[in-house]
Amino acid sequence: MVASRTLLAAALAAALCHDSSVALAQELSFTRTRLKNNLTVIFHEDHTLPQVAVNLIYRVGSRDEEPKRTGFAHLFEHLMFMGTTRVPPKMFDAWMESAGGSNNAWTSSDLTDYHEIGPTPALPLLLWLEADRLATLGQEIDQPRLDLQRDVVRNERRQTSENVPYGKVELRLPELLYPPGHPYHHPVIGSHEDLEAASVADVRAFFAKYYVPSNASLVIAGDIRPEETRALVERYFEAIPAGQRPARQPPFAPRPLGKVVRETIQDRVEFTKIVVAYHSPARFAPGDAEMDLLAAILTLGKSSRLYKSLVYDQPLAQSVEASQGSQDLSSVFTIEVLVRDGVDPDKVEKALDAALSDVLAKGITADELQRARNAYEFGFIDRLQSLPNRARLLNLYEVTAGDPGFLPKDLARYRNATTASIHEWAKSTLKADERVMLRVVPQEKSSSKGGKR
Amino acid sequence: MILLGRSTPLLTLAAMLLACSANPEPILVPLPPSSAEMPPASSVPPTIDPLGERPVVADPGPFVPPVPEVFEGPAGSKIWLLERHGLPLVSLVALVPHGASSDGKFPGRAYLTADMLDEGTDQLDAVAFSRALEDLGAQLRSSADREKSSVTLEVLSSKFSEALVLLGAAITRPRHAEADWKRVSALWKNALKARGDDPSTVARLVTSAVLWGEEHPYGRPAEGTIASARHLSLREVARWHKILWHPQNVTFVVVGDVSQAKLIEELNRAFEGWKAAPSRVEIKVDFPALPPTPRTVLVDRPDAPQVVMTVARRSASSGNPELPLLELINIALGGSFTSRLNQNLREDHGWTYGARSTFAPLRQGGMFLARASIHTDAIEAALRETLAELKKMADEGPSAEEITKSKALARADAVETYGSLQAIAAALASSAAQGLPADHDARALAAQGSATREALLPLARRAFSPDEATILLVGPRKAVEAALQANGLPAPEERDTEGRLVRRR
Repeated sequence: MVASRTLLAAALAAALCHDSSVALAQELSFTRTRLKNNLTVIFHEDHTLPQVAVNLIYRVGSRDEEPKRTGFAHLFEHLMFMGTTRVPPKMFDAWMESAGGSNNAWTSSDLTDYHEIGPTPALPLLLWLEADRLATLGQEIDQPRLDLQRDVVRNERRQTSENVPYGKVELRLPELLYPPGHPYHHPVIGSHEDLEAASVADVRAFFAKYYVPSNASLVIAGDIRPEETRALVERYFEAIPAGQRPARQPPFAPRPLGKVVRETIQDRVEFTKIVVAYHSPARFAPGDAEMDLLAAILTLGKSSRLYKSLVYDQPLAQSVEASQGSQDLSSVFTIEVLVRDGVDPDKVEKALDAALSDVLAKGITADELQRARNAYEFGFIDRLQSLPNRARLLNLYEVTAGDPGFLPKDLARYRNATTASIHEWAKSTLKADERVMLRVVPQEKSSSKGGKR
Repeated sequence: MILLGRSTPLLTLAAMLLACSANPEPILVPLPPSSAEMPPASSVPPTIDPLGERPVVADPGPFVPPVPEVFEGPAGSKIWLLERHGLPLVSLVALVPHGASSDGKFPGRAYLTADMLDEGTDQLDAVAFSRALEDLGAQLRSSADREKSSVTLEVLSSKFSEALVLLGAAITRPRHAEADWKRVSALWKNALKARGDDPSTVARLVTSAVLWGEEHPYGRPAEGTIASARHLSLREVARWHKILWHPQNVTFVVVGDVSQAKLIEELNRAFEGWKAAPSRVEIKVDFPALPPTPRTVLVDRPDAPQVVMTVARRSASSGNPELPLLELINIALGGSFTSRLNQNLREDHGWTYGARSTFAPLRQGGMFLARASIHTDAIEAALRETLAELKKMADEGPSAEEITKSKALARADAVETYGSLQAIAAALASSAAQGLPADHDARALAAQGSATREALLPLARRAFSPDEATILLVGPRKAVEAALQANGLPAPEERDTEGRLVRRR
């Protein structure tokens, strides 16, 4: 069933020349089971280092938030560490760190992911702590704990979006791309106003609806014996009532923009940034991999189209980045250009459009595709190095593709992309008359005292 | 996809613990806990509870980080090799133990010398060079920090030979074309103008300037300054490159899927041009006398929603044998989620997204830094609590429970470092650049593992007292001045975003 990582090494090295996807799949070997209460459990055995990793995903993200409760999924993520009857406040972290373990969590528009890592003997404690909060946390949250983490989250918003250059882009872009009422209309962090409005009743309802075994997937990876570990998981988790997996929106394309949406915002910055954003294919949908590859072709390396045109050949831009931001319902393809000192942003925008038009008119070359593919294939292997990465990857494949063994199929998406398919997806995605053009410009010199920058 | 984390990754902790290793003593994790800080899980429902009592965690035993082989490389260079044949990858760092601190009267020289290193070779122009790497799926990055210049290479082992040839050409025969210089130096000057936008960058830059002095090799901005940028020429960079990358200055740190015999053969091939290297020019750094440090510093950032707070003091150098023990104490003070600073400022009061402290050691001295971005309305109280936590640690040292925790976390972090080739290579490169032995990580972790509270107390007293610290606040003037005054601290001297004194009060 599961083989150790070291034993596979030789086979992997040999196989890479022929079919690396088979070898990579072996590298990410797993067994999957479902408990009586519908909790999905995936084991990945690897005895290279004396450590274990736990990854637990709940199928809930900012897209599931109620009206006037933006930022709630992420706030809830913070509350999951605030303790229960069994695990008094602060003890979740204290007990874990005393055992040499550590944790973190993240929330996206689609998912919430909790993860821990620790020395091999800490595994029972890590699982016990996860099971405890899934069993009881929602009922035990009180006003002081909510208020405390609300303040932390509001400071997270200030630190990561409000007090960093160009940080307001990620707050505003979703609102410009998606209409009110669309699940992706608001940023994951939410608004101060909505965070302020969140109540203990909201917390309980959210927990009861989304934090149930039927809606979760657990990966246990590393220096484990799957049979023993399975017994442990059953003991800790199986008595928790299954609940129901809540219905969510199926992937759907948002209403087309139908126009160019332009906006200019001021920020405490020296140079103008031009942000161009388009609706693009949803995660794992046809075209998603093509847009990933196109992003690399546009901005990865000095010979990439936009870098060469705007930074290398012409002194117009300080930097240029493109990315396909894959999401489950609908993705966003973004190009960000930092304008050079003293250059007219309109001129940069024209040059950007000229470079994009060239791609749309003539497509891309086989060499360009190969270089982009090389970068992705390296990335696939590179990502498999660390144990927590492998645990997360297995779990993301499970919850987004329904198959922890999706890796070869994932890799195949990039291998099957052709110059023609990339050209087609570029044309249908990068529409000059349907996009968001957001500019961040230096704010007018402040009138505050001592307002020099 | 926008991801929001629960806490910022402990980058400082990771960097700090790169120097950690095995624990020869059993780690006794006190479970169930005995102290008041860790109350037992007393309220567990009886018998029917399937979860039962909190599991007891057994001692994981010692972890001994593997030590690389050290041997001669081409033309008098050195090689540190740690073979890892798990995945078909190789991670390589070619480094020279000189960085921005050697810039002398050319601020930014090390930074630009690194920046020009991937701009083509005698055979390939900058675009062709970039393309050649992409054809291999290889990733090459060059950089310089205070005391290190380096080029890193990440590549599939099947493409290692070809990538190494490109690396060798970049180091021994850089193109240094005028057109590339024009672009690279223009981008650099722009970046210098923009760095004042980011308050955390400003805080780091100004902290170094006030702790060491604006003209000190550790006090000048490592990337240079706007004022001095025009003095640097391609000619100077090319001259410096030759001196810097003399083979006898170079250490190759290699981790991954390559054998010693193959590595030597490939390096000899890729660095063939080194055979005719002229004699080495010694690189000297003048360290002026250290200035008195100001007690309080303001960098005004009108209307900012947070104040970036730094409490900093000069501290142990990288070769100081006390450093691993100081770092052990620091895990309890500000180097972990449950550290005193993070628990106080974040988990008790919600004033910040996270508070951290760290050591930044260099060869001739180092810094201790406690940092957090604080909601502007809370800066007065947060500063008070921060100073109180430092004083408490200096006066009382870490508790027995904290020492146990810190040992467990130091060990865990060392294990995690050894889970990725890049992380191992970075840790070893750091040791090599600082002139530390190849088994430094193992020794440091062993020293941490056997540390006793009695041994740590006097260290804590010397290293963490806030009385000698400088308090640097990047935020709105009014809030900063009020906070300092309310804490009985003197009015601040003001610095601009480049670290220059604005006016003396």
